[in-house]
Amino acid sequence: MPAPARVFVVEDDPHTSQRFQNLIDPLPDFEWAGASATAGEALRWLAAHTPDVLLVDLGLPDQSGIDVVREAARRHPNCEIMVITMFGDEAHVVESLRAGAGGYLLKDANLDDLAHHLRELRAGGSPITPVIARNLLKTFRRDLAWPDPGQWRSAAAAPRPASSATDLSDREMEVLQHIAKGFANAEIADLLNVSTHTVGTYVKRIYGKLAVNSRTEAVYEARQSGLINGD
Amino acid sequence: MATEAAASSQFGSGAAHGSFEIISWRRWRHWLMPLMCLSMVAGALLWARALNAESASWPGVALTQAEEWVEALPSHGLPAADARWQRRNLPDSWGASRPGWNGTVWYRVRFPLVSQGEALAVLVPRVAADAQVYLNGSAIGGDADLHVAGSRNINDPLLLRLPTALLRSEGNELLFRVAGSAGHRAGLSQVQLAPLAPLHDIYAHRQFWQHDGALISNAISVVAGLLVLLTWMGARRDPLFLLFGLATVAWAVRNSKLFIDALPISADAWSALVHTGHCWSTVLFCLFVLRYANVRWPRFERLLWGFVIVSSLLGLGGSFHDVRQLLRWTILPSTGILLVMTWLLVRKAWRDGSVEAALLASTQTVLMVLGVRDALLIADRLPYGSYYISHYIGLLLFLSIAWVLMRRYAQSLGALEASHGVLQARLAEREAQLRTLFEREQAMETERVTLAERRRILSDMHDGVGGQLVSALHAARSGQLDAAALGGVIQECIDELRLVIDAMEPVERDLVVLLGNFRYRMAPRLQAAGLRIEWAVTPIPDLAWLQPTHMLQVLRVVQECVTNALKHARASCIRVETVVHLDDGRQWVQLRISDDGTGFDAQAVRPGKGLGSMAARAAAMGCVLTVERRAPGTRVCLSMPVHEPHTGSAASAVATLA
Repeated sequence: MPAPARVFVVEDDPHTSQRFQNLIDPLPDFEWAGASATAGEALRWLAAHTPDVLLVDLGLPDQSGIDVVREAARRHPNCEIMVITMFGDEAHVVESLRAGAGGYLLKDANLDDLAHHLRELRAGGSPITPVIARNLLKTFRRDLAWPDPGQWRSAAAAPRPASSATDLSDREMEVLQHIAKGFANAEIADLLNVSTHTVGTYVKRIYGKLAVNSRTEAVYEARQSGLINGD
Repeated sequence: MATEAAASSQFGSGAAHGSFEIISWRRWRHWLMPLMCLSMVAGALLWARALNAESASWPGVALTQAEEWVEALPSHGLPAADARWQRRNLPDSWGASRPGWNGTVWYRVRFPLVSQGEALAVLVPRVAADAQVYLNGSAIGGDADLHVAGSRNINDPLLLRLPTALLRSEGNELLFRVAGSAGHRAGLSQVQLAPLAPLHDIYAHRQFWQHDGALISNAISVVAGLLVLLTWMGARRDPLFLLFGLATVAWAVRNSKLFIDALPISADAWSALVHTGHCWSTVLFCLFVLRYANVRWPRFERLLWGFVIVSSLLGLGGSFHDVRQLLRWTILPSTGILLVMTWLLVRKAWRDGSVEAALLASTQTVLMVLGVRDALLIADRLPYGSYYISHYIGLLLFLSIAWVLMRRYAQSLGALEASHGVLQARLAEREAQLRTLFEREQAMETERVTLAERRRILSDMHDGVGGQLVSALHAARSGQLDAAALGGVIQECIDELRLVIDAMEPVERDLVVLLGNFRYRMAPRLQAAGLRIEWAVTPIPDLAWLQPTHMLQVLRVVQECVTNALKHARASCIRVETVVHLDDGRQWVQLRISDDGTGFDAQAVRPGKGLGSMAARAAAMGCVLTVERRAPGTRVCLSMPVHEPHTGSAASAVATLA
């Protein structure tokens, strides 16, 4: 049996934080690593420790949770990051996906199936809503067009990364389109003749590409503005 | 008080000083014209005087004692030995000695050999119209063939080298055969005998000023005139330009007598043309001056036109054969007109005090003075050998006028540009105003839209969540509800809040995505309740009219159906599908939600809820809501037109079919 996964929670509401601990403590395959109520505290903790799962609330008092997500993704690439969010917060969710999160939890949803969510995430599947799927479709279509070839040519030493690493495959696109139409993962799996789990991994892979793209974008923008020297 | 007074007095003296300066310049600048006039006239008079006396300084001897023999019948040979020679001192102007005479006169001049070893020559400053010269019986030169009709060298000096071989030590004899007519101021000037070298210099000097200079000055005048004429043709606004241009052309015709020797037409016809040109240039120039000086003298103008037409007709009709007739009919009236013009220009220059008017007035004055001088020359009141110079002042005058006109033109262009600039500035100003207005309008529009949106959200919250929360609070306080029921009521509130928020998702009217999101949210609960969902949602055409508020209504219909299926109908399956169909010639999108339950709960009447109120809302947004009872189950159809619905006019009904 593998070692239990260490879970760290960044949540400013003590009740919610306590609920998480109450839910996680009894799970044999997860281990409560601690919690922090502020982004600053979390960042300090992350500098010294490596969690396996990180739960981050976006509305922190001192700093955006997205900063914590970005730092954790950079420092601990193998850590599974989930953001805790209210419904109707899809824009922020997409923002945290770009920062490197692999999933999200709805605060209002029944948290009793937290274990299910955590296990799914560990197993390589990520949750997604139709609105987020639509958002990603738009983002990737824009990414395909961005930046225009002339810009790349003029910006020396900034070649476009290999398209296979960041562009969505036809299958991934198809998955996103079905999700946007409201089909459940199981239905999509039927339509595409794959397992439900595979649909989940597609979504996770799409999130990964989104994060890579947004990092490349940041590097490109930094190069353009002269923050980084082309090597 | 004291300092104030001092300050005001200081200020007063300063102002007085300033105005004094202005007054003094205004006063003094009027004297510019008289000063220029005086100096230029003095210069012109000195020049004319120098010309009168110029022959006195020439080297050698002036041969003035001569004899003449009038050839009665034209012949080609030298005068016969028995010709009757008579004394005639030189210069001999036919106008004075034989008025009206046309024909040939021989002159015989005898001279001793004044020096030896040096090449000798004779200079004839003026001989008109043509001459041939013989030394001791041998022809030594002269003008062109006297018998050619079109030859007329009236304005050329003549330099003749005396071949040494023909010269004798004593009793040398020069014969001049002179052909002329009364119309050309014919005659022979004095004959200057001197060594060739110095005489040649004098000849070259005379040749330039009499002939070449006239040609050059005339060419410049014509070019200036044509330029002005072309300018006028470009923009026919200022008649000054036309009058001046035409005057210079006429002036050029008038002056052509000075340098055109080989005539294209008969000498008389040419002479008539020249004098007609003189009249026209004078009259056109006078008309120019009248307009330039802003003088309206209609009668005088008619007089001018009468004069120029009559004199042209008379001249071109061949009525003038004699210089005296010409003097009387053209030159004297022209000089009178010149006088009027001079006075007008002088008056204008005095009033304006401007440099340009002073320049015009003084050059015109000099032109008049020299015009009188040339008229005196024609009238034999000046040495016969002298030459015309007024055309040089004419050149100066025309150049001045051309300068004035071009300045006017440039000024009008400048004014045009300035007005263009003003126009552009105004345009920019108007544009800025419009932009400000537009921005303000836009800001107001944004504010309006924001306000409307805020109102809509408030009313959505108020209608839904607000009411539900109040009734939940009421129920909780009254103790009617147990914890599970209270949880259910609060869940409803959250569901309603979700709908409001989801309807606001910026999904660009993508109804399918919103339906999908709704399903996603409900999925765990449906699953928990054992309700299976059949999802048959397909892409639908863009409903351009769909606003967030409409989205909310659509979502509410779906939620109502789902809630009913969950709570009252005890259904096991709910099917959501979209269908696109044509009806009544219009394209419709139909959203169908059907379940296999026991039908709608008629008793479930909640504020703002229920299918009845939803049908009314659907009708208000131009859609049709129908509820179909089936066995088993219920089917709710929401039909939405693809294109702009006719709000209110669409049939609205809850069709209940058996």
